[in-house]
Amino acid sequence: MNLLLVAAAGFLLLTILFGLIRVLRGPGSGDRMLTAQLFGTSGVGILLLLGFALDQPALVDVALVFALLAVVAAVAFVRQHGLPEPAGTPMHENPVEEQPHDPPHNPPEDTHDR
Amino acid sequence: MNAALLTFDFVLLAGLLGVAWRCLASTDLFRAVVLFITFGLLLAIAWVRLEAPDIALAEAAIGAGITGALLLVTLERLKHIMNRPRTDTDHDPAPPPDPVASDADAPGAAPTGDAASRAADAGNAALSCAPAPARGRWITLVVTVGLAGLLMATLATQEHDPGLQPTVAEHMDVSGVDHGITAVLLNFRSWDTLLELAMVLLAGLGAWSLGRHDALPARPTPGPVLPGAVRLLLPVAIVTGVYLLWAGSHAPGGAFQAGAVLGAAGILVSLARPHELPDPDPRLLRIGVTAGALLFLAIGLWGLFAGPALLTWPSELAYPLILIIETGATLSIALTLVALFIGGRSPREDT
Repeated sequence: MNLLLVAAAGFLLLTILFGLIRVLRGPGSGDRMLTAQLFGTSGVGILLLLGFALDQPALVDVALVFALLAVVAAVAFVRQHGLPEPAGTPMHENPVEEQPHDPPHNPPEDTHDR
Repeated sequence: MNAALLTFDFVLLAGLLGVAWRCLASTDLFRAVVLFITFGLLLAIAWVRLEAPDIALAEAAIGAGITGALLLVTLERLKHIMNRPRTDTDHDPAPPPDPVASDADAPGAAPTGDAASRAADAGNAALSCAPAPARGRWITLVVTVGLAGLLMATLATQEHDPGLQPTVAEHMDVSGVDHGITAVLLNFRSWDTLLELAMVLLAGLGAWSLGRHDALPARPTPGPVLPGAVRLLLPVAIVTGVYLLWAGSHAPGGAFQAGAVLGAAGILVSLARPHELPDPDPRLLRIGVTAGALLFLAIGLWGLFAGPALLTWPSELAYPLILIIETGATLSIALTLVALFIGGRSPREDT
């Protein structure tokens, strides 16, 4: 039984490592941030599985803290990359332009439709 | 079972090294931030595998809750500072951020003139610089592999030493708590914890001495999701923080973990409602930020005159005293973390 739990935790860890491809390649910052959120969920799963496999009930607390606070980074991201400013606010100096070295990198519509 | 755990550890180790390498080598700062968040997650699992659930808790709270938000907001502010034309003299107190995530490389973007656009270019170049030339890479590799080999050889030849564990276990009955780490942190080695609290206080004072804080860069997010999430999460976070504070006396947890969770809750509120942030009374805020270190010091001095020695407490009073100290420390740590996130004194203090 414990072997099964550890194997499941290892499988989740492998899915995190595969998910890193999305973080590294993007293309949009939304993709990267969502991947990090997904990692948080996998991490909660790993911690719970390890907690039961190793008989360490304290790991449930670690998983609880993770599940609770993973949303803070998401809120920070949404606040920085959400809708454009409303018309009344003084606008920033820079118009939106694409990055020359990474063309599909975060097109504006990518940040709007979430 | 052991083979499975060993495989898990090696995969984890490979993941940690790979993520750290990509994070340091990344030329895109946003990608580096996301990789750093991932690194924190893997590091928390590594602490679990090293049988240090206390540190895993702190890493979970700080890595998941605070560092990610702090780095994202800092990146946004940095972009604005870099893009601000140097010749411009307007002092906009609440500069709105760029609209696009990693649009760190918009050439010739500033419309206010050639010099301004050159300054913006330089700033953007600094934000996403080209990788360094590959000189010395082999020397670094050889030195790293050599150092790793030496460390592993040391580990392999080291005799098994239980350290101070038996001593701590022997004296647990006079410590006032049932968790070894709390006993060490708040009774046997309370000097260290007092100095750590003083360090947290110094960090907060350092941030305040740099000046007033700007408004947090935050875009409007219409819809019920953000207010609803904050309304649901905030009470749970506060209960979790208090639970961790209480759990510290008999299980992994304690003031630093509880303070980090409560600080993350405060950061969540300040991100959700940046324009309606309550402006706290400066005197009350100062009392709250210094409460941890001052309470600790006061009780420690009381121990010098009434108890056994400086920073020690009689064993029958140890539990309540430790709980008082930890409550004050939790309050101070949480407030300091939020103050560090907002970064700078409240504008009201200068008037």
